Amino acid sequence: MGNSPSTTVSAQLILVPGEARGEIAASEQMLSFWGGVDPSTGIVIDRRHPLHGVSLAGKIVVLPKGKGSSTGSYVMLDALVEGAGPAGIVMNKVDEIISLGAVVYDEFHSRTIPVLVLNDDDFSRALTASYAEILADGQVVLHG
Amino acid sequence: MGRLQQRDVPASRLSLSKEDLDMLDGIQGRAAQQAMRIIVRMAHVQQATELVDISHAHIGGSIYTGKGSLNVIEELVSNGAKVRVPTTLNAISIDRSQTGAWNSGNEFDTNAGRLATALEAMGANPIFSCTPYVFPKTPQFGQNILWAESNAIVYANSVIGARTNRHGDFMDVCAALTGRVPNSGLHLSENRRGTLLVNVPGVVHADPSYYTVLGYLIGKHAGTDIPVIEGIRQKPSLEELKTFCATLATSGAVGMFHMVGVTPEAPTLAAALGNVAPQRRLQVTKDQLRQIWHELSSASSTTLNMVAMGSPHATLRDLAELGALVRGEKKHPQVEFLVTTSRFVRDQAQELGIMQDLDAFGVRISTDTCLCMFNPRRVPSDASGIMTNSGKFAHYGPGLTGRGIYFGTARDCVESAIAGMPIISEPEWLRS
Repeated sequence: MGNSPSTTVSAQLILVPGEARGEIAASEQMLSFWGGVDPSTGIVIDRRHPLHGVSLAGKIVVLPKGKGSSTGSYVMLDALVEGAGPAGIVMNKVDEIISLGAVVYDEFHSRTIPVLVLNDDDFSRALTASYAEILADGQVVLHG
Repeated sequence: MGRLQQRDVPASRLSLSKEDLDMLDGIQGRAAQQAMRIIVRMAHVQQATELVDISHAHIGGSIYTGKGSLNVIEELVSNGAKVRVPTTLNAISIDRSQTGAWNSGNEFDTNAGRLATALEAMGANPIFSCTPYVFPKTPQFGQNILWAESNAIVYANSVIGARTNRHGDFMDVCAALTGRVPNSGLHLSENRRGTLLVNVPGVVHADPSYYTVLGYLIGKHAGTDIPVIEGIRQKPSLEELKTFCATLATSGAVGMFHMVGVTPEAPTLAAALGNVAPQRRLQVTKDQLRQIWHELSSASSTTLNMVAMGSPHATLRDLAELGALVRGEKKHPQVEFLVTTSRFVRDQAQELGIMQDLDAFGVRISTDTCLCMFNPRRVPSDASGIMTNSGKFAHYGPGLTGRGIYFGTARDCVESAIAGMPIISEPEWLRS
């Protein structure tokens, strides 16, 4: 897949605008940030999740949506403030808990990470890509 | 109005009241402005077109997770944050009434105390409980509120008939500081009708463990659907509804259910479904319930070192029933028997003499906090076997404590604590 051409897709919804680029950490399974991610390292600690042991720090995280505890917003913010948060988030459904962590980060630290929703087909493409660039207008350039 | 034109407050499709706009402009102070900006941005995320007033807020963001979130709450306080509606606080990460494993003075516990202090400084009522519905002045049927804490959300929507969405932490604080939430989701009547019809088998001698297992099973299948439960013969108690709400929201993302003939928006099946055919059906069988009953236990140790009850917080009736089970008995010395509840309920139990039986048996009551605040430092280092009657703790406990958890009824927990080893028998509703 290394020399496959890049694909550009457009967000169905921009939940939190911003720009980012990075390696992709992707899973088809929903993830709860509270109890699922260590905010001091960004590493997935939910043993039942396929990304268990993977660091989300600096990555473009591709997940259908979040799940579980409302405290996920705190954990997301804590991770971002610690420098252990994702660079951007691409989902298939609107997720308020994840978006809220990014909104509060912007409001209180004037730093943004983009949170986007892609339609089903584009989301499937993102799941199998290895690197992504998110542009301010909501376009996502997928590589590999 | 300068703030409104900023690129990051997409207010174009959102109609705001004069007061909302005043808050956005900072006329009500810096903290109200910060809170309203977040409410408006989240209204955009939810694609809401207006905000609604709330009559009550219950803040779940009293759990300490790290410095990033603590600093935001403390910054709001230093910017003059004051709640605009009656507001209660959920359980916190420490037990302030004692020192020891649950209030050790280490950095984590100290910061957890700072978070509680900051939220109190906003004017929130420090009930420190995950069961706000057992306190006086609960919200009424039809009122818009913002309640956090997953079991309380389901209870408010389903059992009380008040209206709240599942929000991330911070939204609860922002809603308390502004008195407003996006008008979306479960605030709207058309989104409150049942979509998943669940038929349950007739059982005799239903007890809280039945509702624990049933909720966990339905939550697994429901996803974000609103289940309509049909076939409940006897009206469940508050305690049974409490555990049902808790496990529905533990194994799934359920925010509301209907129980035909029990909950206020379900006088009939047709009313619960809004006179529309259900999108999906689930026929619950006893075999499925038996499978969940066994699946909730994740431990294999042959000894028992700890029993943990009170997730969600024990009610007065929970404590009275536990008192009756332990009367005249004594727990095994190697077993720590922990029950979490609120000071409010503990004080009532004290007045009624229930605490005497619990003390004599060796029960340790912890207030302010709850079992969801467990971390490995709070488990005795030699503890291998832990047992609970809480489906929620049976689910989250292994991740929180780093150990397997046995699940059984309250009676199993007491018998096991006396014997010092796990003794679990299938409950009567499963056997008959």
